[in-house]
Amino acid sequence: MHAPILALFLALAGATASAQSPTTEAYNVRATPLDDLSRELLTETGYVIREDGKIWDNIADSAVRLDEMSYLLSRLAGARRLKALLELNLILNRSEGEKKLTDAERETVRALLRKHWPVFGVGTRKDFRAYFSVKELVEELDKIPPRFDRGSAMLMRDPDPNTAPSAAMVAAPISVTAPPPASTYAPVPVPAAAPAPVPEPRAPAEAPRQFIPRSVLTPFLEPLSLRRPSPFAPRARAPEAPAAHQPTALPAPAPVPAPAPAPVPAPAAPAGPAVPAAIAAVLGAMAPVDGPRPAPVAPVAPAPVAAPLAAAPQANQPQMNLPPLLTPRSVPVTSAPPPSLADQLTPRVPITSAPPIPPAPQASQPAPARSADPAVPLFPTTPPIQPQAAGGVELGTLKPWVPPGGAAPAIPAAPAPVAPAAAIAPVIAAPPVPKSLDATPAEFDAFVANGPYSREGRLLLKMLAEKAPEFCRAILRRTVVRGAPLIVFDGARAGADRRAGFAASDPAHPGAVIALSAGPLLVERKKGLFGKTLVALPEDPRAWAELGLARPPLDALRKGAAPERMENGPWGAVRIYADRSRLGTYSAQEQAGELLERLLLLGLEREGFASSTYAARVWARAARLLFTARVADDYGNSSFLDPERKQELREWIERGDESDDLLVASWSSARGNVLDPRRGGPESQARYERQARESCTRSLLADHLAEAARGLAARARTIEALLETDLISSDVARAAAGKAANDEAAARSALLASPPVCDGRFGADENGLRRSSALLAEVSRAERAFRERKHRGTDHE
Amino acid sequence: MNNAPLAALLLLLASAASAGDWLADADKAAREAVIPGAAQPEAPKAAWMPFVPASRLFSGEIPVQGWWPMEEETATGSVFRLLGGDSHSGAARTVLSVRFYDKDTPGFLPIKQAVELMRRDDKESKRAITAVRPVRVGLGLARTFEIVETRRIPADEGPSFEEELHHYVAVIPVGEAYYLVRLISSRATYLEYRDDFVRFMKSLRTLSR
Repeated sequence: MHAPILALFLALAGATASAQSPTTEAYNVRATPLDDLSRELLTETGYVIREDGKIWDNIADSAVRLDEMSYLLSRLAGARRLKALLELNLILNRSEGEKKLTDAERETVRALLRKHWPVFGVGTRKDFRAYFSVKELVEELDKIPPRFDRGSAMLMRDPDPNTAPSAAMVAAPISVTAPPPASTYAPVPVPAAAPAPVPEPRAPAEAPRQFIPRSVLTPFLEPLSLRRPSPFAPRARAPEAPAAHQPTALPAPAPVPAPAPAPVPAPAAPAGPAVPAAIAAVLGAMAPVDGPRPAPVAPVAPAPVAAPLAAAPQANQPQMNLPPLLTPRSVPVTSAPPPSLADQLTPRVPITSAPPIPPAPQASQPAPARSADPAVPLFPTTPPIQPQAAGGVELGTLKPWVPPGGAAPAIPAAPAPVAPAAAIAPVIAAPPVPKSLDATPAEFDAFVANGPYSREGRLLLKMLAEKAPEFCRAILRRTVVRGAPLIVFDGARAGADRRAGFAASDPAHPGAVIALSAGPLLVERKKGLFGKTLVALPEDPRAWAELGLARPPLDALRKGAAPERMENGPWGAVRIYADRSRLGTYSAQEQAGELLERLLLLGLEREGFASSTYAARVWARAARLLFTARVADDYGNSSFLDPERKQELREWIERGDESDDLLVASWSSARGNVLDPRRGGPESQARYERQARESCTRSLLADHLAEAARGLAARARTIEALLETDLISSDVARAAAGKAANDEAAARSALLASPPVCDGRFGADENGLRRSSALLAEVSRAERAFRERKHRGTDHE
Repeated sequence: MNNAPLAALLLLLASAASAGDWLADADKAAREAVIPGAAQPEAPKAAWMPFVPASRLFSGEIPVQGWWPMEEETATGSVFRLLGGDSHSGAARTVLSVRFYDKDTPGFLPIKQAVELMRRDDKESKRAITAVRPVRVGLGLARTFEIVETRRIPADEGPSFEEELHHYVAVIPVGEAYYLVRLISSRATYLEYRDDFVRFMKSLRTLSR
């Protein structure tokens, strides 16, 4: 009777004992393959991987057990990590401080970090990210997931001396043909009760590198492709672009041929524009399209054609021989007149992904094959639509909008001048993507010394080389050395920017031209009974043309006009003229900061990091602020900045949250036009676009309508403010506002009459947006470090 | 006296006033457009809806129309923003932001010092601050005050004009930590957002973090 109970007791006791005692089973790399790092850790510490798959400990003269392997690897990784940190500590202690590392020391640190990156944890990686560029992090280091060892070395049990090696642990001859390494840095799985199935041997090249879900470690899930087409370049349609013309609620939409959808190039075309239109214009100049343009300094390889020409339905169309700087301005959806100079300026930074507004289809001609559009518009702008026939347009008023349906509005009688589709819809090879060749500091110095720069330009670049924040130096050097942008000191070429902007491309120079203003153009006006206010105006006639106005005839802008008096004040040395206009002076330090921001925007665009305008602008602005903060610390004050920049810097340091909110308020406005409130930052933009894909036509229509409305709001309200300050006459204001209203009304009517055809742009640039997220993460890290140092009362980066 | 400038100005003002927010109008137009083959989006059933941001910074109610939520990770932690209507000048959009500060936040300041710093005046921006007023909200007793200041916007481009901006600020203590809720708008229109700000602030609740 007691026999069953006794048997059960014995069985339980045996099971418990076996559960508590270490297994004697030897680890076998054939059953449970090791990753490269684990192999390296083992072999470099004297363990031997034998032919039969066992790992032999030569000191203990026994095979490593299955249950102790994870602990062993954890201990080896920890030892390597400790050694690396000690070596780093030695270098940093020997140097004059982390801030003042020599180039050689920095390179040694970088090499050490690079070598031991796989064993560093998240925190250590965070601490040392500043030694690498975004590109290095994104393309290389962030792809290595941190090692999460399940077994802690502290919990590792000592081997039982009484336990003799089992028969399974008999030594085998040393193998020289180890099984192919699993190309992953995943930790060794904790041994389970049942032996793991032997995995299929995989070729190293095919083995996936990621084992741990990387989404928790890094926003990048896919490797970067620097050969992606520029967001400012014409792009191929995405595959989902419907071929057929969308029927509309309006009567008699012209039939449209249904072309076969064009294949999408491997790097997905970005969905939206990135940096200001002026940048796009400039960047286009850097990318030779098909003409025999002189090669830029950068060894630029031509990028593959975004879509095969044959696949495009309008393959017989002539190659658009415009530089790409103009292509974003062209209206790609249907057809449009060539972009004017004013068009190039119209939206400085567009509502993200908002496409240009298609002109109304002409009733007398068949609608162009809009779905065949190979060029996704990047800089949405209202095309120069001719005003409607006189009458019916009131000054500055929005025309009442009638939804199309039963009482659909008629197509405007005099729509925009529509060029034949065949003449405009371009099939252009994607612009060459710049090679990501790094430029060393020595190379940068040599280029600056011998490059096409004036003494002042060299001075600014030298200042940047010394004082720019670490996180942006690499891209800064690459942009200057490989992109070879020109630097001119001429506020009249800076567009609407008051301090620095991108000048119209110079046919004699293939690269970008950055125009720095020598000083602000200000006009004093009375405010209230006793108050005065200063209005800051752009000098560039293009900025005024964008508003539909001529540049006001101010004395400060007249050549040879003599100032009434000179004074030194917060705006530097100011020349004051009889008509109360005045020209101030920017210091070289301030100009250097502005130059840095422009160069970085240019670099981000060149290297494919500008999918989110907002992220690119935030990143470049933070670099400028960190630069000016460093210069201010060196000088002991910030008096080299103009009052606005001084205030900006002070608030950014003291009340960063408020400063950020004000920035968002400004950038999301009609005139700011950097941040689309509907899309938000890069991550939410990706989500928005995924949703927009489901209602593509309506979302596209919303983008077009928003851009038209934004253009009107920005123009009309600026004109209104100029009128209020007596800078323009009422007649001029009336005419300009009327034209803006007409443009918007015509565009809106055309859109509602014939909604734009879904072309697959939504969600096409998720990788680019991930890169943009990384930019924001990086700038947060840099800013956090700066704030922590400030908070501790120590110096900043 | 020549009344032409005045007439033109009034006309422009009237047009801008009647236009409302350009983005909300454009969105509405797109939503209501009849597109054959495309489903008509449903109109929102309620003016406000419960909301929890992805960062789980808080829970509360947000208005459905005319506001766009946005969230991002910054140097000082997660920031939730609601972007509202554009200002009359077209140079500053209304922004409501929510932040949470605790000891782990870089540059953390205790609530008293933080409020003092926010309330520091500034001659250059003609910053004027009202007295602190306690307001009972869902999370406890908020310290609220208002700020009016003058900025030249846009900051980088021209033409750029001075504009008065208004801030509603609420600091809501949660132990030693605190929420900071701020609404920035043009001073010309700030009263239009007062009720929204108060309703949002009162609906604010903390989530387990």
